[in-house]
Amino acid sequence: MTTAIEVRNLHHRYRGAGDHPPAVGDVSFEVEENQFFTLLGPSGCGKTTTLRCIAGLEKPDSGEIRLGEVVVVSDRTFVPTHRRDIGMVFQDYAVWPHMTVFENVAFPLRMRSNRRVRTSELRNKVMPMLEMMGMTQFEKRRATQLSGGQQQRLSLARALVREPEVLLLDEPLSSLDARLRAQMRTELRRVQRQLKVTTVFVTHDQIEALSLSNEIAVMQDGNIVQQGRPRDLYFHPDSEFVGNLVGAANLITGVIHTVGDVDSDGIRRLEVATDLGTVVCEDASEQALDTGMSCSVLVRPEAVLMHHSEPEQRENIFVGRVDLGLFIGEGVEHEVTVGPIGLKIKVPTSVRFRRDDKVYVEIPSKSCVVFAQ
Amino acid sequence: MTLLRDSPPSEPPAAPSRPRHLSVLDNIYARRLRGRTVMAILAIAVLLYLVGGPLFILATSTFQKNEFGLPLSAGSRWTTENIQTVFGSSETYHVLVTTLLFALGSLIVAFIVALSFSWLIERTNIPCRNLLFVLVVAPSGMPLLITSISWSLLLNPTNGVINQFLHAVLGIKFSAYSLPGMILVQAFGMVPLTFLLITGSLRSMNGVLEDAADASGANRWRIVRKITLPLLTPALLGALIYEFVNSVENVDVPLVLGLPGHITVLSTTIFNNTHPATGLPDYGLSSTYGLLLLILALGPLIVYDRAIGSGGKYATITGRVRRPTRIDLGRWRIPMFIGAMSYIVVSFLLPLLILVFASIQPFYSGVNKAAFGKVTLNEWRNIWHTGSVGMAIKNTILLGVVVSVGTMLLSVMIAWVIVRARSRFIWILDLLAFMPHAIPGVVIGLSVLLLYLMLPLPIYGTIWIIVIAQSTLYVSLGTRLMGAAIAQTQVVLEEAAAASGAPMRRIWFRVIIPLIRPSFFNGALLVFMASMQNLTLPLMLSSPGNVVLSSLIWDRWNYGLPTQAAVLSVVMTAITVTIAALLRGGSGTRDTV
Repeated sequence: MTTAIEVRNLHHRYRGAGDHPPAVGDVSFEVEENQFFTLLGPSGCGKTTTLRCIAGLEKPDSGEIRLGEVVVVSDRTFVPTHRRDIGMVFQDYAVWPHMTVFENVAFPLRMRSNRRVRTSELRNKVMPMLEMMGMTQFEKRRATQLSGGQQQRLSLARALVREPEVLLLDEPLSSLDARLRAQMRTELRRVQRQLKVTTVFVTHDQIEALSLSNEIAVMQDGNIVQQGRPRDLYFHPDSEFVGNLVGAANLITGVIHTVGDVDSDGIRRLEVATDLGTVVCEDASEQALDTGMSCSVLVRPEAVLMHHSEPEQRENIFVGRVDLGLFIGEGVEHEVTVGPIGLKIKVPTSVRFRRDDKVYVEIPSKSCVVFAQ
Repeated sequence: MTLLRDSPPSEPPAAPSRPRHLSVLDNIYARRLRGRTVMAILAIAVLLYLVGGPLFILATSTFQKNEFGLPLSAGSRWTTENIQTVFGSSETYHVLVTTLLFALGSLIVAFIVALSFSWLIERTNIPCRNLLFVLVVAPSGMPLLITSISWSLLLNPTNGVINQFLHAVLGIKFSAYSLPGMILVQAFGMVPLTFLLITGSLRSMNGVLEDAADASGANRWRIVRKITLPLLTPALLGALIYEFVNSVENVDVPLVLGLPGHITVLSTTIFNNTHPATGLPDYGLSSTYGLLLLILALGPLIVYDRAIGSGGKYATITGRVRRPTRIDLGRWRIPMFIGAMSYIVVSFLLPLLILVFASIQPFYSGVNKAAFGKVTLNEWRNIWHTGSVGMAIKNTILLGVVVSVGTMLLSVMIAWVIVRARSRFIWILDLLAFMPHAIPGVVIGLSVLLLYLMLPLPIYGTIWIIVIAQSTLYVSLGTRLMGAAIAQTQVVLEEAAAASGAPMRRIWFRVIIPLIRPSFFNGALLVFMASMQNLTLPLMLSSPGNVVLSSLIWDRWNYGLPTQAAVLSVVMTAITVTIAALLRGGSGTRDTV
């Protein structure tokens, strides 16, 4: 596979930001061709600035960006946005209200030449695009007469119509309501697969990031803190920050009691003294761990098991009391008090737990992730 | 520090090893940036020339004197003589007090009327609200000069129609040539714009805010005092400041009604010193008075800026807005309506009718039986053959078109740079564009006059000097209108075009211009109308060669030809009221200024 996008040592600070830290500190990454690459992070982490630098809407203070074979940003080069081979979708749709649906999509094609292009010449490009988005019947409508979801589909069609080397998506789903968002998520992935266009996607929503991406880079305070495939990030986050960002998590603080030997799979067994009691964890990381270090243990709510009666022959069993149960259809989210702390536990609907029930909480050692402090 | 956010870095010489396409792109990029930088520098340069230059000359000539009264010329010397003359004379203080009385009096009357109409139309169930709205705003098409002339016809002490009536019935007379008369007419003239400025905010006010107070247990009066008025304060203060500047800068009412009654205000003092009936003009003295007027006008503005701040200038209302509930007037509905209509009849219809009547008299001498016998259309037929009428019409159109289009183009440029650029230095441009808003027209007229007496440019005495002065005067209005329009078009629409491959030039033609076109046309129409109605500048800068309709009307009236003045007034009112009506159909009327 070849590299479609390369970002090297990108650094940018906004004018007038004063003593604030730079929007982008020192960011480097590569995106392989046809991949769906996501920049995930809370607001203000620099993900949108990074994307705008790739688009040329922001001029970084330093760093290098290469799109395909073309160096678009370097010390001596800055290719303006309209000369970059990109398509971009914005959060607030950004469809032009003074043009029809057809004209919005045709616009990038018209920009290819300096002469006036006849509409008939553009139809064979525009109409398939509209068809793909299921919008052929709106062709002659004003863009402003469309619903939010339709506007965003139009915006996607406009970004894709000139078959760009790179598709840039700046939180394209966050202006839509929940149901539409789920629908557009599926559609976005389908279209991206179909057209095989290298995509950079910016979002703060972990579900969008996990479900759409081949690769995710998590950003914090202007830097990438972890990069990897969705499953790696979810199950093996490097830090509490990443662990919390990509999904709901229980964090239990404690002190490392014993550190076992690394086995043939690269896994160490740890015993951590916590407020719950001793928790046995299987650690797959290569971090330096030693007896007496304070640490925190992350475990996902759906990984924790809950029993009415005490299971036998299991480790990490703790007695607790159900505080709260939220029925959410696909399961039940419980708040369970175990000793001095509360745990979030998500269980299937098949077994019913009631408030004040005494329960046996099981934390599988495989599901624990340990972060040394 | 560079001026614009994307200013090019110091370009290193192209390395010979670089691929060819990169250097081509470099050049294109550099050219785009140069274009944008040039735009900002050009905007600042033009504004400095239009605004900074005249003000500098004004300040300088205040401290100069020579025997010809023309400062900054051969034989002039640096002196504080002008200042001593102005502040040493008790006349100055008398004029200052008269100016303030005139301004405050007309402000009070205009605001009471405008607030009442705003409240009645926006907050009560008074009948025919749309009709009332149109009728209150329609007089904005009537130039203040013409309003003054018609009130002189209605209320002059010898044969004013109303005076004849009052004398016959009650045995009293009320002279228009008095301070109360001037205040009344100035107030009539200011009501439409004041009403527009207030009613916009009253209309867009979110009713939920009042409902919340209601639900918190506040009674109606406390809601008005604690919620409605504080929310209206910025709009009210803004309108107050704006109309204050209007009332001190106008020469229309003080010339037509003040001169016969020997009532002088600052604006007429400046005018008289530059256009004396006998002898040489004293520009140095005039400049000193101009500076005094400038300070008088700027004072309240600075207070306003401190109190309100300019932060929310382009703020738009977001969120769900609910219209406030209307108050049921009950049995007062019809009496209130009759009261409102009577005001409109007196302030708008009567002046219009008397103008039409005066225009079909051989020589106006009051409304009586004999006068009806002498009705004639002679002047309507003959006036077109008077040489200066044709020239005045031609000049008026030329002036209006050039000023409106030129000012708006400049304004779009300035506004775009102000709204879109993220430089720390943009406030310079913002301030320069805002300045003329605070400078009285008569001061702009004086400064421009002085500037082109000095500069070896051959535009003194031509229509172009008025073009320049009016452009200076209206560039604030234009920038404000276009600033609001550009701020309303999201920046992502421009970014999306760039991301679609459109270079700056095509973004302008395909996206920015189409989006702001309605506001642009509305603004141009507004400036065109203002340009036509404006008397101050054509009069301050008048020469035989650059007469326009407004200055011609004044000339005929002053010359003692009321019939000709009336004919021209009717023609001009017809045109400007039509334009005002066209504006109503446009989009931006309610948020003008």
